[in-house]
Amino acid sequence: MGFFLIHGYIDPGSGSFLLQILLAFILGALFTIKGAWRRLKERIKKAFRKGNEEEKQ
Amino acid sequence: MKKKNSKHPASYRDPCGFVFFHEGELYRQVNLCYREHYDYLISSGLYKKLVKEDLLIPHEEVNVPSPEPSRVHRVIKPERIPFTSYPYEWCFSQLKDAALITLKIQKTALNHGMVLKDATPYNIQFYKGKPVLIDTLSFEIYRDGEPWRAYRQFCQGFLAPLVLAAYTDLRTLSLFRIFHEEYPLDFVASLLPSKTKFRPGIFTHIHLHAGLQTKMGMSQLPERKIGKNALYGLVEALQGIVEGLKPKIKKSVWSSYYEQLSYTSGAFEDKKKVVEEWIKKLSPSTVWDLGANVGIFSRISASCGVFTVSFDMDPVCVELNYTECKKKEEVNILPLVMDLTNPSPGIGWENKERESFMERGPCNTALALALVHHLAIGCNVPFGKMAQFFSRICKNLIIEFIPPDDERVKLLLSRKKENFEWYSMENFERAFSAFFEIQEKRVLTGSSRVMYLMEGKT
Repeated sequence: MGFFLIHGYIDPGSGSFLLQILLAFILGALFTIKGAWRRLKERIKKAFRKGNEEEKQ
Repeated sequence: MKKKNSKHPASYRDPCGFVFFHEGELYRQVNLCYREHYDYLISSGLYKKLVKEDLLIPHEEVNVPSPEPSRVHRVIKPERIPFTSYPYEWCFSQLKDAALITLKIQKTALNHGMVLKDATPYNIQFYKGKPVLIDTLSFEIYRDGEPWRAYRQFCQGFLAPLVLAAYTDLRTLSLFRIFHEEYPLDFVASLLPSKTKFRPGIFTHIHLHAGLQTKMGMSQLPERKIGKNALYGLVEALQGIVEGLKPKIKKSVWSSYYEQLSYTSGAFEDKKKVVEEWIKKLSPSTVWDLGANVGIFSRISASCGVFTVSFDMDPVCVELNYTECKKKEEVNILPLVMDLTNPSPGIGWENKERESFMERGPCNTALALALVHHLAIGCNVPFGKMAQFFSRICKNLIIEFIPPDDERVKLLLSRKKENFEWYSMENFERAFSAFFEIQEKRVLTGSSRVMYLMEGKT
């Protein structure tokens, strides 16, 4: 992630951009954690399903 | 009828293309400068995916003369929406659903390497009972590290109006008429109750956002790249907030209207039969049900296969009507908030960006049931003015006259000091006969209420 300065005219939406930048780290981290958690749950479910199928056989 | 090969007055902001009319049909020009993005929308599979999921209006590429041929890359013909509505005419859940599909589209676009460059509720229309994105040129190729440019627009056009309506009053949604596309965040923040500062999502995207907008103003900003995961995270965070917002449904005078029927259920059933019979007889292309309440008669019209716009002035009634539409998956009804004594004006640039209520007509058939006495006695609208109004918005009219001896009318009259001797069936018929031919007249069983089928004089 690189820092650079915008030069020249900045529109009044600067605050909205700044908020996104401020939130980026936490939102990105949350999304990554959630994704990892979802994948882990899927794996566990799959493993259980496999186990059950093997038992049936 | 729009002028031949004319650009749509609302279509002037986007350099990527514009909407125009040619021989009464609506087309969208894709400009050469948008070629890369349009071609990617198609080749990435995003267009196909969105259309398959009913999120984007389908179109076909056509060979039609363009008003600006030097800039044309493609001309597309989108499926035509039968009635254009605006956010100030939507109930809470309609705006909420529009917000949620905008976020769903953004997520799908990110999956395909694109982003939404616009996130305004005016890009959403209700089509076949569902909200759908109508601006095919709303997408651009995702550039690594770029923040979501439409984030501010989403917060001001969707989130802020929804939060304000959920925490204060549903009627604040009509502020779209004043603010047009975006509610100022500092204004919304100042009206919200203090408890909203303790809701992390609302605090961040409304209160903190408003504060930063005011503080930053036009100042220089160190820009930092944002990872794609952060954009996904932002969409999910906004989805969570919007999904959690619920409209406060208080019983209104109008929402319980049918619980206090002033006439017999026999007459009510008879009225339903008459409406059904006349709708079938006319087999109109569109029906506007004016003063539709929760849409009982709109459903009769819709069940005959007719696209029906179901107008009522009460946002609670419209909310209940829309909830019913969703529950029953009805595709032929569009419930909208409309006060006939102050219908939507033309707004935006030159008052032409958003059409007035009258400009969106005339419809084929209007239903005006249990409405005349409210307009005449409640709002002091003379019969002549009423008849003229109806003649401008419809070709056929199914209208109910409730005579002065009806309990409801007596109640309305008891609250008025003015002389309402003019409120009689003879005067009603005389005034309407100046604009309409009375085709049929039926007295409802067990009541003195009269139904009329009228055809506009050309």
